[in-house]
Amino acid sequence: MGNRPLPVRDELNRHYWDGAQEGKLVLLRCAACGTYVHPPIRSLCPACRSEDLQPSEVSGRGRVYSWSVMHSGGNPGFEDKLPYAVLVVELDEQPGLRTIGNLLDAEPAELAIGAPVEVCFERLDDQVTLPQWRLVRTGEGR
Amino acid sequence: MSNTDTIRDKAALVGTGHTRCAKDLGKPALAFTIETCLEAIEDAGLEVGDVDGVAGIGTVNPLDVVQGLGLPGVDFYGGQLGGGVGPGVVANAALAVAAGVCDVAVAYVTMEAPRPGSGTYNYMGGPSASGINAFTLPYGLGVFMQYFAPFYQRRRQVDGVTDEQMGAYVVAMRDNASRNPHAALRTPISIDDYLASRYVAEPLRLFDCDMPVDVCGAVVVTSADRARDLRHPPVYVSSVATGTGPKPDMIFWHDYDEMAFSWSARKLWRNAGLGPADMDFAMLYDGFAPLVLYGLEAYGFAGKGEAGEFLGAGEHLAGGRLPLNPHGGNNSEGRSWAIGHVVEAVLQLQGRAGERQLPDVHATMVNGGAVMLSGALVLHT
Repeated sequence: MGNRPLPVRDELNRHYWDGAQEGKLVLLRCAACGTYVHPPIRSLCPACRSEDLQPSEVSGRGRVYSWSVMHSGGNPGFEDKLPYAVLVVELDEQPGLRTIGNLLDAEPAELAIGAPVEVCFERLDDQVTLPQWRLVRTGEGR
Repeated sequence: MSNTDTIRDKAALVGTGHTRCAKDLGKPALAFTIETCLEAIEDAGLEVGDVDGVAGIGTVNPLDVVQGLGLPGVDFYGGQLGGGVGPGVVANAALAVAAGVCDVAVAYVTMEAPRPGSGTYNYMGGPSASGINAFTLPYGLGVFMQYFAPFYQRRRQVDGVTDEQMGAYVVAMRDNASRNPHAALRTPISIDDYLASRYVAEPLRLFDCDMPVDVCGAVVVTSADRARDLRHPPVYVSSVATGTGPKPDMIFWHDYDEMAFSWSARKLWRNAGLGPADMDFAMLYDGFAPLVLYGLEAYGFAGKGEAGEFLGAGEHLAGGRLPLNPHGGNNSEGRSWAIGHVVEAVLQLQGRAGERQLPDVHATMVNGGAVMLSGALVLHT
């Protein structure tokens, strides 16, 4: 029971949530070596140790790396959404660059590893919009 | 590397203690932890005054155990080495003994079952989401078992692991646990019971998950020289290891096709002077049953992508190529972060496992951990 926990903006993640408000998927990228850094929880580039990480919009395209369909409660705000799919998406920009989201507008039975997905946005309130994912279907030009 | 440069055979496990695994042991965790440590000390044939080292994790702090045992201080105290849970505390104690930091160490894990009204077990969040949780909780990903499910999904999709293969493992653990008086789940189940078990985080089923219980397990570690004069045959520590990979951020772990086990395997066998083929059985961590898939492959017991077939062929059974977890694993004994695995390893190697006893066993390995957490021991008599 309870409400869905909402993200607390901080210096390392503000770009992600502010970008989503504008309908953009924005990640941190190392200004020195170009490596994308996600999740943005450390202030160093893991590839070159630069501290110069800058917000950078990405394509919002990726592929399903894995997923799970949640059948049990326990997450506040999700009791009435069961079952729901949580995706692990690998973004096109960089091998191993992954993010988490829910599958919107499709049934989990349609999921497969490597299936192309694209970002979409779920507005929760005036402050928070979540980057989410939808399947790119055959004929949609991938 | 010569054996004098490593931990090899310098420390030994000499005594064990273990509570029942139960929803409520009816006393404070510190009380049953002290009882279990005393049981292990007595089992070894030592006195509490011999103890000069304590290593432990879980819900009871080792500093409280120092006081609870009435020790006049210790020369070594610590938690786990790395993230290896039960095997990690034993590894820490064994390294301390092997290095002469202390002479007799007690290593324990204490866990407690959730109590009514305490909220969702293992929910990692709060009313808001900060840090790494900002990227998971708003998506309904906040309970520990949900983090593991996408890993298992990859094994299903990439390697073709089936319900029948995982079921063969879980059915065997229930059967093993029926011979373990400490176990929480002692009633045998059929493969159909497994297949009827509900999904918690598909493809992970309820019966794949260990049951949270009140439990303490403890082992006593001392030097090989001292061990030879004690009550039971010494169980020598051939090698210990921890390790992790390059992106230890749980769900954001870099490669779902392997876990930190692969890093703890890298020098484990070299330092042990033994290999996977020398193991008479294995104690592989199974807090989520599919973790054994990763353990079998990482430590060299099954080829890459072949662990499902290993289980499907029954190689994990008492008569198979590598019997696994004769006590029922955490899967059926109860959630002890693999300290139950360590205790069972010692009992089996000492020939004291009662009706669970495997014939003619002299060497085993034990592991613990999940995703970015890993610890391992190689043990022999």
